[in-house]
Order: sequence, then structure tokens, then C-alpha cells
Amino acid sequence: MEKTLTLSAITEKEVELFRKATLTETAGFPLTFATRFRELEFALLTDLKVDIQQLLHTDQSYVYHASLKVGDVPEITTRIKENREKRGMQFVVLETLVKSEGELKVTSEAQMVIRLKQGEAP
Amino acid sequence: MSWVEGQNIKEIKKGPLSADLLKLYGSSALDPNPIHLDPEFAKAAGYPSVIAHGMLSMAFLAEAIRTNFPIEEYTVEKFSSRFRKVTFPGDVLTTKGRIKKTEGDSLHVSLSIENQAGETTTQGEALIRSVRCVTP
Repeated sequence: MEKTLTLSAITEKEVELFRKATLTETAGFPLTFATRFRELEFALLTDLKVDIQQLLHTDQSYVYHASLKVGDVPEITTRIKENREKRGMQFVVLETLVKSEGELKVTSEAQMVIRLKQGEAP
Repeated sequence: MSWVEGQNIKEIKKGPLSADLLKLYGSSALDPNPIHLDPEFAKAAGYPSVIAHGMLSMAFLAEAIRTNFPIEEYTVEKFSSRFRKVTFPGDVLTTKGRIKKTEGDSLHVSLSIENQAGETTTQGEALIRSVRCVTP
């Protein structure tokens, strides 16, 4: 299962707000800014009928191929890389490729854990 | 600055976190999950209050990276986090880090965050490369 979407261009205002919200004082484009490009992750999780109340984001990784910058127009492609169940938990790994003008900028991988029955948080 | 294996990087402290910060982060990061914003939703999920976004902790680790490895001198090639324990409004988070391995121009850095109780809430790793020009 895979979805693709072109987003609006990254603005200076969005970057500044993100820096403020993450208490960032250092220079440079925020390393976790690509978290804004998770729209298709949420769409795929909805397709899987995941109970969002039982969902935890447990792991996140980024591989940086080229720097994102203000003015880039992100084209995102998200796919379900893994979807398995183990001991009452569902593990979903979502991979997102972020490109701008065809150039791969960032590969993101997020693991979600969903409790399938009542119990303690993972 | 030259780094050696086993060397600790500078710590940074963030917090206490507030519900208002979580709201600001949720809107700036486009994260719609009400577990970070709605106390009733969070309680129904089994938490005493709203929980902070794991990605906010990862952003704090990013700030620790850039504090120690400024953009003028280093590029970050890979960066990962594992969110081990949830954090709440009121928590004070301290980042820690250590040079795990040096390899030519590259540094493998292990990272973590501790809360005010000394519990590890987040672990991370980064692959960082020095981009300093060496003049003969």
C-alpha cells in the first residue's frame, strides 16, 4: 500500500514557528522538520483502521540525502513497510520518501505500536 | 573541535514542558493526535494527562546535535530515536550524548534524554560528518 502527495512549498514562517515550538536556538534547517510530512502516514493508518487512542509512535529515523530548504515543494510517498502482530500488539512501520523537484531529500521511517487489547502502554 | 571515542557531548536542558508548548508543537508539526492535546482523550487511553510528542523529544536531541556539531562544521547524515517512556507536562528533560565511534571524518554518536527522575525517556543515534576544509 502506497500513497503519493505534493505539498505546498515550505515557507519561512513555517520554519520559524517550528523552531519556536521545538525551543530551537541553534542555526540550520530543523533536523526533524520532515515530521510535518506525515499526512500520508495518518491516512494509511486510517486505512488500516488503527485505533488512534491505542497508538504510540515508538521509533523514528531519518536519512538525509540533501538539505531541505525554504521554497522546496515536498513530494511525499509513504508506504507500509511492515505490518505485523505479536503478543497483542500491532507493529506498523511506515516509510516516507521526501523529494523536491525530483531530488530525494529525506527518507523517513516511523514505527507505530498499537495495543490490540487493554494493558500497559508499551 | 576534535572528538575522541567515549567523549561526552554537552548536555542541554529543556522544560518544564507545558500543555501550551504541546499545543504549539502539535500545530507547527501538523500532528493531529488528540492524545497530546485533549486531557479526556488521554485519560481514556490510560494516561494521567496529555502526553508529550515523542517527536518533540527528538527535536530536543536535534538541538543537542546542533549545539555540539554546528551546521558550519558538520552535516548530519542519519538520525534516529526510540521513544522508551512517555513524557508529560511538567517534565524537565536533559539530553546526553557520547561519541561512540570515530571513523575518518565521521562520528557515530549515541544520544539519550533523561527526565527529572533520572529515567531514560528517549534513546537515539546519529551519524555525523565533519565538513571542515583542511588547508595545507
